[in-house]
Amino acid sequence: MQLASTIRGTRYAFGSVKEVLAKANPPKSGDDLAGVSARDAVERVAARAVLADLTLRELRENPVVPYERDELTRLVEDELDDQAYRAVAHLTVGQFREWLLDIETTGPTLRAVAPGLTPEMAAAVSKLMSNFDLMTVGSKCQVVVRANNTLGLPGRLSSRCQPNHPTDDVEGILASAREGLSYGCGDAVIGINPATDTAHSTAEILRAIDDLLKRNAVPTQHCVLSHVTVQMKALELGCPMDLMFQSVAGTEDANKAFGISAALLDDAWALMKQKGTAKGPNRMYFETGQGSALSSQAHHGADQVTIEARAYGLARRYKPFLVNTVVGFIGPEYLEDGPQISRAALEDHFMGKLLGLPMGCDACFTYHASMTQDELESLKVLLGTAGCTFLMSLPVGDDIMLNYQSTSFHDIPTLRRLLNKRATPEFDAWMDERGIWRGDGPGPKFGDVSAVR
Amino acid sequence: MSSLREELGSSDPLPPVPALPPIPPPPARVYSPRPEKSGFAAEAARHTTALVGIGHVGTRYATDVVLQFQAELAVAHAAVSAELPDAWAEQHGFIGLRSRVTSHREFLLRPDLGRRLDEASLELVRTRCQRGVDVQIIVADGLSAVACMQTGKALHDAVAAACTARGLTVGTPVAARFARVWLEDEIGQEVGAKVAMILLGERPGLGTGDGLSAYVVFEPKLGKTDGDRNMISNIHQRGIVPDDAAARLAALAQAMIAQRCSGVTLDLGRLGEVTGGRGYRAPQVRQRLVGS
Repeated sequence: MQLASTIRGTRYAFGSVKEVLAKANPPKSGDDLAGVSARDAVERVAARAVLADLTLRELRENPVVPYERDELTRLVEDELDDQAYRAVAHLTVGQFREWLLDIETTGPTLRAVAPGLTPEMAAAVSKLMSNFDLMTVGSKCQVVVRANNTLGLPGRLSSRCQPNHPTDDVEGILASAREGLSYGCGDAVIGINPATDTAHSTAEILRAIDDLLKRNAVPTQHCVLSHVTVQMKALELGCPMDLMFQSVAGTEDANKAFGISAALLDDAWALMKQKGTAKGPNRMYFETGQGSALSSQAHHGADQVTIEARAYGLARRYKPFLVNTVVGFIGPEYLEDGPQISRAALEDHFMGKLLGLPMGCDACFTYHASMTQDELESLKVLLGTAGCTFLMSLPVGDDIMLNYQSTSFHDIPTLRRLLNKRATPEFDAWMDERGIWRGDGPGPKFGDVSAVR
Repeated sequence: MSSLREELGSSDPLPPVPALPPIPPPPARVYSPRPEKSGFAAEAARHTTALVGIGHVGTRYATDVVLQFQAELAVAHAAVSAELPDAWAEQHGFIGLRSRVTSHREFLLRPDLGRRLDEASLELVRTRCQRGVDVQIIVADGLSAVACMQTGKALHDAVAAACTARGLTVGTPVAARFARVWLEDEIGQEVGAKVAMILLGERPGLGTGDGLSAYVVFEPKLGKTDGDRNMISNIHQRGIVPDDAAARLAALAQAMIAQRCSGVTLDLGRLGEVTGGRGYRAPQVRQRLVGS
């Protein structure tokens, strides 16, 4: 295995595959904070030159956290589809990039190869790709999932309706949810981040949303994003729950800081198969985001893109209905500005799709990051063009509980018009029946909350 | 190609424009919809500060909504980019301290440096601060120097009075610049306080750059984590008012000293009703910022 390259006569040598992966990464403030980034642009290219010549087999043999040290590494290694792996193991990362971009490499083939890829492979190839490369391959990937409706079909753009409230006032949550539905938002999920992390309040919110969806016969799913243990207790209380949520990270130690393990998620998934109220078969919802492992000092010296891909390696075990990278929420110490947040969003979408996940993105910023509203709007177009499965949606994009800026109820119909996209087929039919959206544009009841009682 | 060009001829590529009568102004759409026009907006406003019932033009916002939104965004960004003037601490009766951060950009990118005092400040704490107190209060800029300058002094004095009223001794007033929450650990450790309490500007939300948060920790020392802390956020005139927050914070400090712990292990018991739980946050009232 060759871990050195020469640029204009200067030789660059690297100590490990992990170091090559980190230094090949595009600039991210989080990698600087971790002290793992390239010292300048030339060293970055030198690392990419080394990476381009490594084979996928070498990446499998050199996970960024050792097998003995980390349950995520073990899960990925033990469950890898051998036949799919053998089809690509001999390719170098550079060759793999070209194969992915080839017009002849189509969605069904990518779907076949996904179970043979490790997260490190997806992360590695992303580092050799430009934003357009990431979008080109991301848009080819076929990931279609089903709960109460069918998400991820070609030509579709879905959204999570996120009617959060700082004190979990159920009437306030319902007002935002109804408004969102009247703009055609919420076909991925009506998902509420609760202010109070208790089984009782989780159950109370779920019952209220369940009533709303039943009363209006809305073909979608509901979810309250409390801790998985709290949701499990809420399920035992006998409340409806279409999707079960958990934040996941890319190392065993980082997940420990989240209060979870693979064993706990196994239990949660088993409980959902038994008691979950969506038709299925997909019943889980995960959120991720670059930098979360570093924030708990659990990154093992690896870069944040590679660690992020490893979170997808865990998520795919549970055949989720939704995986959402909350890309700009973590703050400027991990993703400093508009270009870094945009790049991370496209990387995460690409890596998740390549690994076979229904990837959505919370395109967002906190008010201390250097990103403008126009940059955020542009990012939503990039994501929609890349085939992103779903975005968020809130009143004016403003989360009044979590204090950050995301996608708005008005943005989703705007994007559908601009990009010629539709909601999920079931939800699209519901909107037509209610007069909210007809064909490719607003119907007579668009934005009119009387369409949703 | 030439036959294609032949076929297209030399006529104008687009048909003539239609006749253009005077365009009537669209109906007034306002940020706060009039109750007589939208019962929903009025009803929703009783339960949420989310901007619902705002209508739409095509699929986009009305001009009034755009302006209101931009004003709220500008307020948040202005709060983040403001810096605490060097002289502010002394002018308000505090000993001025600095973290190891040397610029505003570094402050945003290096939380680790914002958690430690620079050499000169460490010396100031060692030579000028009273040791062995029950409660060391630290006022700080955090992510909104605007909030610190607006409410920091008043909140400090209210908390100090509330602690004294409960029989607790309070340390020398200090104010820190470019400070993160965990800076309270080093300061509290140096003065040997039983409880450290940092009052600092919180990350602004849309239209709200003036909230302070308070983080309280028992037996402060380097290495404490978030799970060791209790906090109260949204302290300002439209959220939890400083006097109310001060009463809650003094009660928290006394409970920590009595139970010899803080954070997730602190039993709030009946105190929960006073302090509002481990991380109480009052709802934020939305203000119209753009007036005529």
